Amino acid sequence: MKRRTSLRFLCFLVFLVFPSVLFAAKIGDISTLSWKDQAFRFFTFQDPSVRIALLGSVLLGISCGLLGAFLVVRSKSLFGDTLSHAVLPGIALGFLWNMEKNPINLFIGATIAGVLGVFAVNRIRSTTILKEDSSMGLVLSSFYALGILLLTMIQNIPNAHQAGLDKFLFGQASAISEHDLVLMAIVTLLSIIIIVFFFKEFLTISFDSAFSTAVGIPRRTLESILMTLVAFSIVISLQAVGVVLISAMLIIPPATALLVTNRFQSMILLSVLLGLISAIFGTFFSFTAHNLPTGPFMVVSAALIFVLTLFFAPRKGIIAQWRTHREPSIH
Amino acid sequence: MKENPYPLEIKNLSAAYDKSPVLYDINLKIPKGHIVGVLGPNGAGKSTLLKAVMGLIKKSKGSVTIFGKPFRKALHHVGYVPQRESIDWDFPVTVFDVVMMGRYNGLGLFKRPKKADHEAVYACLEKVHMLPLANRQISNLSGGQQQRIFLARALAQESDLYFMDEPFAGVDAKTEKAIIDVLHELRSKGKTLLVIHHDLSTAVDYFDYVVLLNRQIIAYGPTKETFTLENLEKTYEGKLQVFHASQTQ
Repeated sequence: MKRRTSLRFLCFLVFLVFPSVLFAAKIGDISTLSWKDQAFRFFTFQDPSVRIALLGSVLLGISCGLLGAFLVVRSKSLFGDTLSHAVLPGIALGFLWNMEKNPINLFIGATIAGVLGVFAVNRIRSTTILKEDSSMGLVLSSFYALGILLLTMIQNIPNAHQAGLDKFLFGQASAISEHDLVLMAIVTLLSIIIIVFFFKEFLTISFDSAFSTAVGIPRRTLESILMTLVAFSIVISLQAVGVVLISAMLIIPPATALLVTNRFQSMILLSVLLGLISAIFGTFFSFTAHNLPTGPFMVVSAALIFVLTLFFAPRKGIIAQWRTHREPSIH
Repeated sequence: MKENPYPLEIKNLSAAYDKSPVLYDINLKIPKGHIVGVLGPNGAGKSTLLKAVMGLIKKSKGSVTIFGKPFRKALHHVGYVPQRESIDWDFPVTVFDVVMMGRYNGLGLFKRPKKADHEAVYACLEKVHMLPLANRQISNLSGGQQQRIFLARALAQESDLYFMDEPFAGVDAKTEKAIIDVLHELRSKGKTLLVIHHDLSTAVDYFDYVVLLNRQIIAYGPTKETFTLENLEKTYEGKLQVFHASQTQ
């Protein structure tokens, strides 16, 4: 019975995806090809730029959906927002290192800045009377401001290879390079392997941290690993989604999944699927709409799926709840 | 012949939250095969005692041994029932999933639960009368049902020493009976139980030994000798009102 409702929900999602994708191909048709040919080109991955952008979005959708699920159930959703803003100065410094958009340098710079940001949040919270929300807001905005400052300076440097660096704000899937793609694949694979291997430990520390310590699970180590993976997945997604909106990809797909499922395992799977679908959606719309920023399209897609789920989810949806509340009064 | 070590021995333990000390100089030897109640007023450090023993908060001094070993090396001896409010009951797990967490310690890293673990989980759920709800998500359960899940999880740990933090708080009569049955069964198997409790009127019926705690140990011993009006007044510092009637029975 439960399986069947989940299955029906999946079919519903698939129905949602395909017509819109075809439609998108049609409105975005700027070449002389008919929309059928355009869609065919898209789905056969013949165009390398389509291929890279799509593969990249799929990877970021998977890693954000997977790791975001842990943030949402642990009430740490805004942690993703803090991290994503905190990495911006790191990206700028990674560029300044040898004046080019080298993915490894940007990755290292961003990770260091992210770790520093998280460290700063924890220090402020534990050594002052300020609470977590204030320390997060403080670090988030300061780091972000510093990042914008550095990026603006970089834009004014003559003859530098800074093209595309401004895309880190709102994201541009078509700016993903093949090198970026390799990094994205490594991070996504690493996250999947670690989460699968230590699933029961991650579940226990997320559900009941006191119990997990009492039974000897190395909670702090696992939490650090989890947060590092979140930082990695944010960094690899920045190019496509952008600093400003990446946290949405960590929150909306898992939050939607939580409305439908009863078990953490199924929540994660659905969250990954929804992340992937929203990412593909966003890339497609952005691609066909004369390369407008990808991030907003992805987030709007994710939010639309959320709203639909909010109303139509079996059992927990607004309509289902309304019907169960009505039933007793009929009899 | 070598002397059998106590299930729990605490020496000179002090603990603090945010630098203000909560527990002073605790010395305790808990004998095997008994149900021991820990009683004291709010803020007396009852939960802190359990947390310090299990290393959930840092102790500022002193030592704790479980069957003669430090806590980290005796994890498989210890079962834990936390306070019900300590977790988010909207978490997407089923009753079965929660109880299965009790088996994880025995499984070790990388291993998945086997058929024997599944059977053990069902047996523990049966003992607390929660088997029909095994596949339910944990939200929408009553307080008593939530408490019984935690109890089943502790049972699934198959430990020798159990720490229970207010298992009787706010539960219905059916749950109270289920908990008592489980406590008695564990005792008859030679297990040792340390139970934090707040209701003085039931203490005499539940516990073989009592620890009266108010930041330090006021009195400790077999319930009959220790649970006296004089000791209670010392522990509760004049906040004792309701109790006189049941004590004189």
